[in-house]
Amino acid sequence: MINVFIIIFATIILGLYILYRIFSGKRLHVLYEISLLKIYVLVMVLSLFPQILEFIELSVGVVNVVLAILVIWILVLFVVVFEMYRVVDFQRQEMTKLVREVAFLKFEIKSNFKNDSSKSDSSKDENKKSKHK
Amino acid sequence: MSEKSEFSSSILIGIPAYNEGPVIAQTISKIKEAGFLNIVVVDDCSTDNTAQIVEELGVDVISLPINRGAGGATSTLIEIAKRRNVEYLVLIDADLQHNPLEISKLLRFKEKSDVVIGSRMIGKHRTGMPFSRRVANSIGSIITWFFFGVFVYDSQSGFKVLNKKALHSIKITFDRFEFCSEILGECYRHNLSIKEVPIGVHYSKHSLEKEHGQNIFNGFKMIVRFMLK
Repeated sequence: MINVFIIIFATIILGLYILYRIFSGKRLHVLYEISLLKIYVLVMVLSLFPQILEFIELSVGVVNVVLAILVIWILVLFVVVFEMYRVVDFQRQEMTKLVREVAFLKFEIKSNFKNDSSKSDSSKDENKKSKHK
Repeated sequence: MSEKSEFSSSILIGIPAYNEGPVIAQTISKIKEAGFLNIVVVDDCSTDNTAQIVEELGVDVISLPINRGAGGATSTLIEIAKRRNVEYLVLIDADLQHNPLEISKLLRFKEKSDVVIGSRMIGKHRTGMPFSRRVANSIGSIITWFFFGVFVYDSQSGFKVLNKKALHSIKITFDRFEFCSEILGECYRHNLSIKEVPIGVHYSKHSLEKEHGQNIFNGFKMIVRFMLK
């Protein structure tokens, strides 16, 4: 009875969250939205048909299916966090490369500017000397 | 050609710098006094006048528009060394922790090893380090050995000589101080030889007060980053 209550509670929270995402205008990547939808449908089915949980308990041999689902969910969250870290780390490395190239370009431009101004200064000096002669 | 020749381009002295305005001029003049004129400074988006001081001294300075950390600055120096096709890159800290006169000491071993590390933890000068830094450094060396399979006494030393083979093999991906350990890991991965040479160490008031330096707390953050990597 308590397990069914937990599932219904989780369903309501998930439903509210999805409604919030839809109406707040903050759209996720379509793959993430489909994943969320799949989870929502799964939780809805389990809450409407709790006999499925009893069947899983008997066939898999788990004492408390809800706890097992929670553990699996926590593991999934770990995987998601690591995946996100990998993506963020890749972006950080790319940003360092970009920052480096910008710094090199700035240095090149500055050096070329200095060379050009020193060349024009030396050509002005030569013109002055030739005029004096 | 003598390594100290004014026109030698085979040895590049690379200095990563962040807010080293109070000491950078002294560091550069001491390096020049030691006979090394091929110097480049990477300014890691300092908020003080580090870049201006270096420019006024006539030394090349590459200023990163966004702060990328010691690792980012060092990987930039490695890239500069590769583009300039130098034979050896000498990395040295900007805060005069290392004596520029000891560059020659490290360069004596450049033919025999791919990477020469100036070690503050061996030799008679190791007591020059504050106790907390020695502990943090030892922990860093153990962590480096655990994650990368290489043990050196001073894994966090910023005083290194890399030869051309090392420059083209080593790829730094960490932006913060974890890059020191990563360099050693890359040496292991690419079968590069490492030599530790005892050096002196001098901690000025400026280097001790640096908030962004290495300490025990940063060491714990390093462990987390290695584990996630």
